Amino acid sequence: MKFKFKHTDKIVGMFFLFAVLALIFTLVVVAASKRIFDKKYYFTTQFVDATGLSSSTKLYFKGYEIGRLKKFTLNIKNQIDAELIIYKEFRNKIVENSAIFKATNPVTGKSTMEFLQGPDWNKVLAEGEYIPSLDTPEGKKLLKEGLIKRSGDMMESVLKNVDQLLYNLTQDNNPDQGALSRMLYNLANMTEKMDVSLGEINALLASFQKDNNPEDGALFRILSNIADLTDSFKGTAAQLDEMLNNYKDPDGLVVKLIDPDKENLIFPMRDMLLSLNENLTSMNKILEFLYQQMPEFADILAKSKVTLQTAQKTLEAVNNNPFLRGGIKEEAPTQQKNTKIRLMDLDQ
Amino acid sequence: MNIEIKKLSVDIDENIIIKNISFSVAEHESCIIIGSYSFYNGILLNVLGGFYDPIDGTVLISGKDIYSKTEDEIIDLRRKISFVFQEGAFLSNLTVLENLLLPVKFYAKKFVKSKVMKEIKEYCDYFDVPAVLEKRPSFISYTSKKILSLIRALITHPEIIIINKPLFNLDIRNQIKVANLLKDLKKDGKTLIIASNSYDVIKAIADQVVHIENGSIRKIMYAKNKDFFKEIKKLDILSDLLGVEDEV
Amino acid sequence: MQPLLLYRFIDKKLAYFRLNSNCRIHKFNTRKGARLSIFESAGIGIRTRLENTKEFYLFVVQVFRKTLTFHRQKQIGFMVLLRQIMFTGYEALPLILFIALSIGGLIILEGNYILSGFGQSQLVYVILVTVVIRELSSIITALIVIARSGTAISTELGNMTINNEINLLRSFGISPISYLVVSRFIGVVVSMFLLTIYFNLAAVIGGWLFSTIFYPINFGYFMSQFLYQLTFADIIIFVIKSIVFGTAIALISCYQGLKVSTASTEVPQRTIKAAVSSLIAVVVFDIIITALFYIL
Repeated sequence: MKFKFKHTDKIVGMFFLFAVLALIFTLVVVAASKRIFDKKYYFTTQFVDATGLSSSTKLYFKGYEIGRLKKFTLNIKNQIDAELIIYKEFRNKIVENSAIFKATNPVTGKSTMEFLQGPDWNKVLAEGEYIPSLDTPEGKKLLKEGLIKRSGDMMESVLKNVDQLLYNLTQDNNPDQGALSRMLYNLANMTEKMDVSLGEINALLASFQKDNNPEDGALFRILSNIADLTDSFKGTAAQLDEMLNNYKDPDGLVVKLIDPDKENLIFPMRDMLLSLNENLTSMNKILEFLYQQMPEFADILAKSKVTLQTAQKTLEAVNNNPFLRGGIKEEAPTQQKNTKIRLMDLDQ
Repeated sequence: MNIEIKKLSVDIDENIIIKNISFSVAEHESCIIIGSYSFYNGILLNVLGGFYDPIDGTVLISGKDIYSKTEDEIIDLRRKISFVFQEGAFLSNLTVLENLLLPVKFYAKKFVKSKVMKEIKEYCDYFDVPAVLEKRPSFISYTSKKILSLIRALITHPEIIIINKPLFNLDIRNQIKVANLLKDLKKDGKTLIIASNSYDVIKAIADQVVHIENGSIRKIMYAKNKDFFKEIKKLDILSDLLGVEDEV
Repeated sequence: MQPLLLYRFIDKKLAYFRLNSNCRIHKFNTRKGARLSIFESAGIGIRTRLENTKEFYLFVVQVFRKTLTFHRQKQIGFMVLLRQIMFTGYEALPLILFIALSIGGLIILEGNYILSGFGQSQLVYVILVTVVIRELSSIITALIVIARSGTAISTELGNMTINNEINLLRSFGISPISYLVVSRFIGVVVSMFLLTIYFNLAAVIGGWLFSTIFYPINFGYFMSQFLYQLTFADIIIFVIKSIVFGTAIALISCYQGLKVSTASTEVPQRTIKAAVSSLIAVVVFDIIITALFYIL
């Protein structure tokens, strides 16, 4: 006690100094990490809603934090006008025809923004210019025209890809856009009108075997190709039999096991496929609903990804076993186009 | 500095203990307040000292109404007044010496410790105070406390000294010493206001005696009057413990 | 003796009423011996409360004023201030560190357990920042300061009042507010502020220590993750809270201490009042500050 009284000033001085230094140190570190001292460039953007936005919402590009939101206001057209800060070192990344994509973390409810760079990397956008977000028609147009890509090569790739898939699912009133539905449609078309010649099937299978090119989705292309072919084939049962007879694979053995009436094996399997189709349709709806409720419900999506993969494998099996075809109920045939949506991205 | 008490009324928990009293003490004069219930006289001193609010009337010191001003405004006045509490009152978390030096330090523009210490030592020698300056107030006797609080009041060189029962808690030797000291203070021209029922104190220094009974002034007696001592001796409330009438 | 007239410390121009206003109101409103109607007693209650509030407000104003001129009386109050910081701050440090280490660790443990179920372990830093830095640090420090120092201050001042020490100071022309209250006020506020910093430091380190029990994690990585989540707003909030809480605790404790009038039995009563009022004030201010932060 006496020691304390004797050295009160020193003890209190140390006590004070250490705490204040710690606080100052923390402030400096936080200031540095928040780039308080850096020069900043300002741009504007627009969102449809402000869910999850805050003045500290960060803007990412290829996993780097390149800026953040400064402020956002509801304008007269009920759009969210937002002002963005871009840090000095990333200023040159802000080029023409770029867009902003807003994603919300389902647990914290906080949003992050992703910067989608335009194709012309040397056409730097002037400070204060408008960068469209994917919420807006301009942003969607850029995406549709292929000027920007929702690349999944860096962090958040899984989340973002699933997000993009689901984004497309919501657009499914247009068959050109809906990946999952399209797949199902294709399957239906393909299985019902399966009178593809052996050579064509072989070619397709060969293509499927070869396809390990990550740029494109193998199954998807197969489906598209088949769909494209369907119109030109007029199938009959006899032709199918012929095809099956000509089929060189061990599948031919299976055919011999099948009773001519197809009641013991083929029809039950057809029912199973029907049921699978329904399940997939239901899941499609569930995922659509989830997307509307919480666009980035990561956990559910991670699981749904597995389900989708399983479904994909089943469909592959169907695809590879021509004698099972014909069991899927009839769907309206649709004309397919190439698309940039890739289911295989899910595996990356 | 003169003190003027104007139509003063004081209460304790709604009970009026002093009713509408007025008197004044001229500069360099001494006033002894006596009464059968001396506790109330102590409260009257607190009112004069400026830390017990009257319900009515006021106290003027050098013409300044101390109860219409804030504490800050009467600080200069306070520096010229010393107050000695009945039981000596010390700040318990400081040593005795720190207690003694506190007002001096507070008042002095330039505090010279050696000068003050010399003064303290002189007083301590006079009173034979044991070496207790470095001790905490709770470790010293009531006698020492009383004497030291008197010393504390004197080393600030006040113009007015208000003392509540100067002989309280003292042994006879020290009572004599205090009485003599009061006499010296009077000679030095200090204005003294003392609440005491001691005949010895009155005999030593009184210029006027204010006798308060039942909250009102019964009589004010002036030493310059011829029959002052006769009147005083008639009062049966006074004590004459010292019996040093001739000596003092 | 009559209750100490606290308002005498306060600017007379502001206050022309007495501390024992209860008695006065009672006297003005009732005939002697007459029973009070329910309305009368309610009215008296409200009026007393209002006057007490006004008195506290004036006391606070006076303390703030004297605080601004504290540097002028350095030679008188500086040592008292240092001792106050020593007592309130330094001596409470081991307790604060112990509690902070445990709380930080527990939050990391519980947070990790719950969040790993969602695959959101990175949010544990968010919880550490939100729960510990913003909320718990200042609240728990405030509780400890109330328990250790708030009660001590009101007891000490109460006893000083009874022992005439307050009057003694006034007789010297030393304002009890500048000599006793201001030094304690600054001491408690500074200590609260410093202790909250220590609490946060210890909680973060505790969090790291506990998380290493389950999986080895580099301290640098842990700190970088934590600092990444930490914003200026978090720091500002805990600093504001610690200062506001310290102010509330110091003012309430000093006020209650000085309100002791004559009897030593009043001292514990006032101390209890000081502790309870401080607690309520701390919680109310916490809600206000947090709400203000989210509104703004």
